[in-house]
Amino acid sequence: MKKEKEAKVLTPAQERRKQFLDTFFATIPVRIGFGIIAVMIVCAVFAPLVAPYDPYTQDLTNMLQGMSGAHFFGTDALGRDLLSRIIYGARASLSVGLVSTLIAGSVGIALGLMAGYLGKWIDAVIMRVMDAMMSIPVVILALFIGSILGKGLGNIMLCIGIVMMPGYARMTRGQVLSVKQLDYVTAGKISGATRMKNAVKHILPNCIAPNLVLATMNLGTAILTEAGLSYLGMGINPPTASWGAMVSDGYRYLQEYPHIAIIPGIFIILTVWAFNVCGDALRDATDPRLRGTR
Amino acid sequence: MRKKVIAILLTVTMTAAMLAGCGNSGSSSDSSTEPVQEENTEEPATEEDSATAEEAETAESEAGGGEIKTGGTLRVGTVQSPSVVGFTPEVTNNSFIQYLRCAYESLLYYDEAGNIVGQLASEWEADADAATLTFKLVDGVNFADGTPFNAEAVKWNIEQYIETGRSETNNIDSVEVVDDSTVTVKLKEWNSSSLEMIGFFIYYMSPTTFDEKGIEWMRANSCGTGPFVVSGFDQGVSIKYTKNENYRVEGQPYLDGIDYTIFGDSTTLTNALKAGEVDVLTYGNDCDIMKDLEGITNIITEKNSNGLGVESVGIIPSSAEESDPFYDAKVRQALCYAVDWDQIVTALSYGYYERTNQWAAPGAATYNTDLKGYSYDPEKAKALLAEAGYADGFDTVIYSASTGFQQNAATAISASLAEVGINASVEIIDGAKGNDMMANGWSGLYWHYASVGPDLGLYMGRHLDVNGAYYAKGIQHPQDCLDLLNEIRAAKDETTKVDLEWQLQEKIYDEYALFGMPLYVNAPVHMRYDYVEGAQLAKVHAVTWSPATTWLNK
Amino acid sequence: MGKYVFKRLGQSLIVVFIVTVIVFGLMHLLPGDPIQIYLGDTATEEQIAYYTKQFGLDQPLPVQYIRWIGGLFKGEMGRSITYSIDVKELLLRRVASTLSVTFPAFVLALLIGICLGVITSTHRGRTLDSLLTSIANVGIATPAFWIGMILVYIFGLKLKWLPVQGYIPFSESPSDYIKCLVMPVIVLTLGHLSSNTRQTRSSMLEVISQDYIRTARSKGLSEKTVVYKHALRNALIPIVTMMGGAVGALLGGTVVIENLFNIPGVGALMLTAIINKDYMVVQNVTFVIAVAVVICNLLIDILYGYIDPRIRVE
Repeated sequence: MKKEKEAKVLTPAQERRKQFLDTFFATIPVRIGFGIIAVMIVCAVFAPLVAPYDPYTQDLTNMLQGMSGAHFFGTDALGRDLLSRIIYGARASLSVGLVSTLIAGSVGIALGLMAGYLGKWIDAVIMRVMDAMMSIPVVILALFIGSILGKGLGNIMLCIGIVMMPGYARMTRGQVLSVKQLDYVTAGKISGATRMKNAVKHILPNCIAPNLVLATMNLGTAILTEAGLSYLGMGINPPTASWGAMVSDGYRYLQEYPHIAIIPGIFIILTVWAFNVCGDALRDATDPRLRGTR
Repeated sequence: MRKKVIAILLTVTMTAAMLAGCGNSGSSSDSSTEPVQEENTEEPATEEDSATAEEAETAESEAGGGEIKTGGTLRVGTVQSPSVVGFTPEVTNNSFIQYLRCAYESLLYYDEAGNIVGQLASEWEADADAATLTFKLVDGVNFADGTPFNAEAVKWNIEQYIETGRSETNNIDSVEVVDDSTVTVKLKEWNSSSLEMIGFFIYYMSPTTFDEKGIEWMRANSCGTGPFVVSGFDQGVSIKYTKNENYRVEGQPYLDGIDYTIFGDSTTLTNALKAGEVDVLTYGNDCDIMKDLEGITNIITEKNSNGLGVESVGIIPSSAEESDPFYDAKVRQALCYAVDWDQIVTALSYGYYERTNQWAAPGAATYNTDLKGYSYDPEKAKALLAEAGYADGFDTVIYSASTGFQQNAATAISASLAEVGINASVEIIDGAKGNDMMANGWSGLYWHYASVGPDLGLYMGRHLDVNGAYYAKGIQHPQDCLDLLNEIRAAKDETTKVDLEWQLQEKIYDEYALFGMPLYVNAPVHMRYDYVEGAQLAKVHAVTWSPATTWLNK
Repeated sequence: MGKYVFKRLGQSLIVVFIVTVIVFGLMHLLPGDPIQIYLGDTATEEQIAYYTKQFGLDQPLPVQYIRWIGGLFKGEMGRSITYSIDVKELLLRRVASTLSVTFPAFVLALLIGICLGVITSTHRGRTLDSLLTSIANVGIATPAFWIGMILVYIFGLKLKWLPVQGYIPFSESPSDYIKCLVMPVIVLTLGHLSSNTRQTRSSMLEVISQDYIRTARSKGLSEKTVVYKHALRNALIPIVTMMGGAVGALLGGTVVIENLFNIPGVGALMLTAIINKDYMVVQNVTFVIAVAVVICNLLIDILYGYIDPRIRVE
């Protein structure tokens, strides 16, 4: 007789985690998406180890080659290996996405907290400024700021970060307002906790989850925005590899050497899609209300 | 690339202005003693004295392309976007001359060999001692509004140019109406380039219409002696011309109208040409455009062959500040040795760009064939750097527009420089920054646009002079070079002038490497479908064409 | 209700004011001198001085700001340095072409998006849902310029079915007008369509799981009635809110599209103006766009407040 396996008993925390992971990885697209993100992160972090060639090495005798054994994706107009540039491009895209989201998130959440918690005219001022920023279309505001700060990786990160800030501010403020009403916050106030402590201890944790979801979705948007800016010529400087810039550079060769423009575009799509899909799954996994609406 | 927008604007303002905004690459002959220019035509056609360029062209096209079909509208695509089309003193960029030539004309013009011929002037005389230029106007010419083109009109126009502060006319002291068809221009001081500057770069508007309609109207419309009249102007979008029924040459223009469409992106423009949505593409001298259109048998690339309007593009280091590594001539020379310029230019331009190593196009009179130049020698570069005290190299920036070639070249150059220890990071800039740097100086390496017509006194002067308009603030101004420049300007005969010019080339490039390394000569080229005949694109001068004699063979 | 409207109106005005400050401030931080660019390299000192004075750029910044705002009240928007005509004139010419692209895109994205959203939500979990949702997800991730390039290549150059670029006004040739707009509209629609689909879908799903829907079903109403009459109406509320943001995105998104397809619209104008540091154009066009967005948001909020009384109580 088979020995019966003892049913595993999980602690509540482990139970919650299990449920979270189960919900998160429920569907196939999410698993693929997560896999893609994992691969991209590996590429970005370990680019020098993963890439077959140096992405900056030019070979003017080997320009515009198609896919081959030596160069998996072919070469570009300066004879640089496309695969290597794609891998390093992951670095640029992900770092722009990550840093700009961090900037937007941290400043945005801070502003949202202040606005929501402190209320009154601080709230009014901050929210109106955020509204004003949101009224200016993202691309236009990004072009604006980009032309002041100049081009280059760092400036683009800052620029996109500034542009995406209002979303987090609004989201956080909304969260703060709804949480503010809850009893335990009021209890905290009564018990004499300082405002700051109150905010951090009670309100902040509740704001994290929705902002995290927002961040995951925004990562995709940040990558797309950077690609668009590079396309318009306001983005990353050469020779740094950036997918958007590669598409842009490849446009003039589209007829004869389509791979130069098409392949980076595919990677943009895959990465942004992966983040969006995971963002959706994250939202479902963290928001009990939405369970069952997938 | 959307960066094309930036690149185009950068290229437009620099390229065109460099194409002698104030003057032009003249035919080498100093016209100070000859009253009437010989016209040089291949056809056994017209007499030169009162012949205008147009009539010669008519003869040519009639002899050449077959039965001329009149009618139809020519569709032209370009990235050159003017903001004014009718008030000629405000049209400063050379790349806009293509528009001016539709509705306006100048006193003088050129022929295929680069000699000066008359257009609205039938005779002219340049008196070096008296510092005057006298023009005899062609009879019976009217503006599009019917009023006569006469000496008074010429005087008025020139005065408009002076009032607007145009550099072409800043050497003019006064304009005198001798009689109804004779004008004498008194110069402040004799300058051998003045004849062409005044003759070719001033376009004549009708004073009557101007007085009647005002400057605002004039900016967006036209009233000149040219074969067409502006019928619609949408800034940054399109310019439409219709036939001038009263054009002075009987039977011309052959076309009913011309439609210009402005493009913000040169790949889109090239696509439009390939798809047949435009008939002509002007200023297609970007190697990527040329490559894209290569092999298409029914699209013809028209190039200038007489050297007028040619410009060179190169890399220029900042040498003004003592703290700048490039202040030392040895470092500048090291720059020249450190890169395989030939390979970069040839490979990245797919062979379209012609290499030059000095302030002239190969084959021009001012091209010094004895120039030592710089071979590709990284070891020598390192040695020179060590001598100058930069054995460990240094950091710098190389600025670039975002056109494919420039960006690729900048990247390639940067890689070569890295091998000798110079760390040049590539920074892409837009038109605004580019102009700013050109006017006010920069720090590092930048692209050098130079009009290389065979007249160093005029063209190099605008960079070399301490108060030069271009790049002057970013470079040194060695006194011996300046002295040589002045000698060139004062030269009375051609042989002395050319001899001095050769000396200056050697000094500037071999000794000082002052302007860094020129890369290639870049004459504007224009593309047309084979059914577009008689357009004479770039034929007499790289920026001109002949709208009057153009016809569509389909 | 009136108090709510009044309050929102006041807020909108403040937002508009802040927009002007942001735009003006940012604009003057840009490097480069617009007069220099406009005149080109042949400009002399006198010319530069002359035009600088003419455009009022020699005045101190606060004065320039006040003059601008004052002009706005009078309906004047200053003059473009690059194009030498009034900004208002320039804007009016360009608005038509931009709207020709954005309006159809907006409507199509809305209608098709809502339809697809309803379909996917009612077929939740089944193949149709998976398929359409996947396509929508990919659609959001696709860069507009990339898909635009490919379409131009296939339909313009290879098949030669459609023009590769340009804009022909309707008055000149209705058939050419439509042909020129097909690809730009498709490209612009794609992104918004996808997000509309997703939004509608999740809205619908949220609503469908509500009790009152169950009640409606148990009352024996047809599924169609349940879905369209009850569920959709309620699900539309968040979609309406989203439309406000869509206006901004549409107007901004045209920069890339207009550049690629050579459409002389507001987006292309903005890009050129930013590069040329054409103060008046950038300031005024950004201002106009922002005001358009603010007005849309205001109207939507009012609409929203009317529909859902809870919102009025802040």
